[in-house]
Order: sequence, then C-alpha cells, then structure tokens
Amino acid sequence: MGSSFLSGSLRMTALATALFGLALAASVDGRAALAFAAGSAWSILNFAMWRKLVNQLSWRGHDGNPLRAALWASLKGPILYVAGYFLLRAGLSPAWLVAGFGLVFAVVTLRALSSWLITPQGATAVVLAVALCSGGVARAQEHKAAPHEAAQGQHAEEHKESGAPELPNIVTYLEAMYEGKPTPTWLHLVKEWENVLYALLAAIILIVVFGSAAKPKALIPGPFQNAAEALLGGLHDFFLGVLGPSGKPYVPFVGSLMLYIVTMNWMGMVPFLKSPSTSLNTTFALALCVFVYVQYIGITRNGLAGYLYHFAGQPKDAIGWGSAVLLFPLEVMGEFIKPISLSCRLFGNILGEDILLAVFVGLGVTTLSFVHSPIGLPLQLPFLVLSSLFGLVQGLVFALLTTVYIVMMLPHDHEHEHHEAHASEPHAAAHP
Amino acid sequence: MIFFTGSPVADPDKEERDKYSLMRQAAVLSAIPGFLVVPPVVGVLLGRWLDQRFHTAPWLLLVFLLLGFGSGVRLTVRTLKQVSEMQERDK
Repeated sequence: MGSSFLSGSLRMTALATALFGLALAASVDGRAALAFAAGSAWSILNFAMWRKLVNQLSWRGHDGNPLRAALWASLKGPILYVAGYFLLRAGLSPAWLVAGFGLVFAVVTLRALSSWLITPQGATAVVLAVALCSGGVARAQEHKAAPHEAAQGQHAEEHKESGAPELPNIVTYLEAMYEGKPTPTWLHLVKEWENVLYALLAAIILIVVFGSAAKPKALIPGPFQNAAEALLGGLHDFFLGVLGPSGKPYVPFVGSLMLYIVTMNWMGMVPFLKSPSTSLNTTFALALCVFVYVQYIGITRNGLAGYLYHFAGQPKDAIGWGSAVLLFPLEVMGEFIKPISLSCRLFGNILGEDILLAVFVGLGVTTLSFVHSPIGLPLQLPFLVLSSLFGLVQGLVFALLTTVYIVMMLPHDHEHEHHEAHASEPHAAAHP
Repeated sequence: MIFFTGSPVADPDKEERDKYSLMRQAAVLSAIPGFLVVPPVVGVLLGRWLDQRFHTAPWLLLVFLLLGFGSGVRLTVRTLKQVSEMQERDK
C-alpha cells in the first residue's frame, strides 16, 4: 500500500463520486448529489493532505523535510476544519455528506482486500479467528444480558439516556435517520452486533494493512513496507526479550494481540467509528482467549502432573508439601483472577478515555452554540494525543502481562537454562 | 513511534535493551494495583453468591475474602519476582 496505491485509490474514488453523483442527481435530487460529492471531495482532500504530510516525514533510507511536514501539519487541521464548517453551514444533508466521506475508505479497503485475497496469509487468518472467537463469546454474553434488559423496560431506556456520554458513530447516525419511523430489522441487528462488527473491522484493518505491506516483497522496500517491517521487528525483539528463546513460538500470538488491541483502542478516535474495547464483553473475551491459551501451554509443556505440581507451588521438601495444601487454592484462584483483572483494566481505561473525549467534544459544541455554529471548538485535541498514548500503553500492558503469564507457566528448567545462557551472552535476548 | 530507532550511539544494543527493560517494568508494575484490588472483590462476590446458594452466611464470604487477599498478595509477589528476573537478565 505505497504512495502509488493511495494515488490510484483517490483517482478511483473521484471517478466513483462522479458516477454515484450523477446517479443520485437522476434518482434522488440535485442537493443529495451535491452533498455526496462535497463529502467525498472533503475526504479526498483529507487523504491527499495526509499523503503529503507522510511523504515529508523521514523514514529509514528516505530523506524527509521536517519543516515542510510541520507546515503541512499546521495547515491540514484549519483548512479541513473550515471546509467542514462551510459544508455543514450550507445546509447539505448530513447523511449524504457522511456517505460521500466514507466512499474513499470503502475504495481503499476493497482494493487492498481484493489484492490480498489472491495470496491468503496464515498469520492474518489467525487474527481473524481470534476476532471471531472473541466476537462469539461477546455475542453469547450480550444474549445473556438481553432478557434482563428487556425486563427493566422503560427504566433501562431512561438509564441509557442519562448514562455516560459517548461520541456518535455510524450506528448512532443510522438510528438518528430512522427516528420517529419504524426501525428496520437490519438496524436492530447492526445495533445488537455493534461491538462485534467494530472488532471485526479492526481485524480487517490489520489484515489489509499488513497483508499489503507483506505483498510487494521488494528488494529495496518502500516507506510503507519499511515502517511495517520496523514495527514488527521491534515487537518481535521486545516480546522475545521477555519470553526468552524457548518462548519463540508464542511471539506471534502476543504480537498480534497487542496490534489488535491497539487498533481497537485507537478506533474510538476515528470519526464515525467506535472503540470495541469500551465493551467489557470484548475485553473479557480476549482475556478468556489468553486464559485458555496459557492453560494449554501449561498442560502441553509441563504435562498434567507438572501442571498440577506448578499449582501446588513446586514443593521440594516436607514443609513445601505441607504448605502446598494452602497454596493450591490460592494459585487456582489467582489463575482465575488474571483474566478478570486483564479485562477490567483494559475496559475501564478505554471507556474512561472515550467518555473524556465525548465530554470535551460536547463542551466544544456548547461553547459555540450561542452563534448557532454547526461545529464546535476542537477542545478535545489535547485529549486525542493523551488517548493515543493511553491506547498504546493499554495494548502494551495487556500483551506484556500475557507474556508474563506464559513465562510463569513455562517449565522452570528452561528459565534457568535461559538465565545461564544470558549470563554468558548478554546480547542474545535483544537480538537473537 | 517507539520502535523506530536509527540514531548512531556507542552501544545501540545496550540502549535498546535499557529502553525495552524500562517499558517492560513500567507496564508490568502498573498491573500490581489491579492484582491487589480485584482478587478480594472477586472473593467477596463469589463468597456472597455461594453463601446465598448454600445458606452458609457469612462463612464462605470470609473464606473467599481471605483467599482473595492471599492470592492477590501471591500474584503480586510472583509478578515482582518476574520483573526482577527480567531486570537481572537485561544486565
């Protein structure tokens, strides 16, 4: 997905906009076509400016111009912000503006997906499997909660309205479009599966991005392939440093887990999207995957007897065996606490960030409401930086704790071997 | 991005290991408050549910609360041990 890929996608979007615009003008009306074209033009401008900005940043082996990058960064926000203000002020239909805005994303995704489908990658299929697994568990949890919510009836609705603020996403807009009208069945379904669909979208984004990065396999890699390789290389070294050489088979799992969680966390900052990790069902499903995987590693690497011996605190003498009776329930309970602790931490932090963003977006809109402005002051900008940092840190903590749990479950002899190997070769772990 | 490193230094391996080591420690240590809070809470919830089910109030609640405290402390100690092992390995 290099610069030429994006240029091709933007050209294709422009062509699709013209065709859709003409079709809309003929079938609906001229204003709908205008709104669609304006939304698409805004989105194309956004992508083109992003491309300029990225091209000016220096990558390995590519000279950039930091001054020009800073200039583009300082121009991009105000230009797009003012353009957005006038588009909304012109009284164009927000629904068609959003549809136009989303066209470029649809074109990029479909193009990348179609090129990737020719060469399916095993690792990306694993990410999809993890997403489906977590989605299934999340769905089961939601089903359990459904009768309880139905019983609460009106109270539930009232509570929802007075609940924590959240930024609107595509589903919210779709619901708003059908306000006062009978809601179609597909919208009910989309609303019910909202978090699962966003979690799947995160998996698709990862598949598309890394599938595209892996595809060219150029001798002299481009900036995109370079960045992807540097990121994956860094993650590989980082997790291998914690797991040690015997933990090499588990690096793809924890690396994919971190990328998947960070993608989900950052989705909350993208307009019209929602972070699926603000649902405890999603985070618990992920923690459950970790729990099952860690127990599987424990049983396969230690054997069933060794696995139970590990839970008894690995006693070696009579006193040790005596205290094993006390330690066994503590260890078993600790093992069940781990997924609960993992899921609650991720859910709480990401929900908190999203609420903070929603509060400051609301505050920005309220500040300018006296001039009847269709857009608000961007008061949330400093918190976007904070959210991106927290999203990364939370993904890192989740994946790192998973590696620690795996290390705790690995046979102890390997640990000592590894430790001794390291004493003689201090650089081996960082660069195997 | 944290993983992009290219600046020439005297010992890039050492610097990279130090940076990773610091990040690892910070991330793992940030989990410790959770280990101290979540187990007793889960213990209380589980104990209360079992007490209601078997009409044994308040004994199972007390047992699981103590188990929760115990497993929280044990998890914390094991995590700290793991962090110090990692630190030793990085030296």
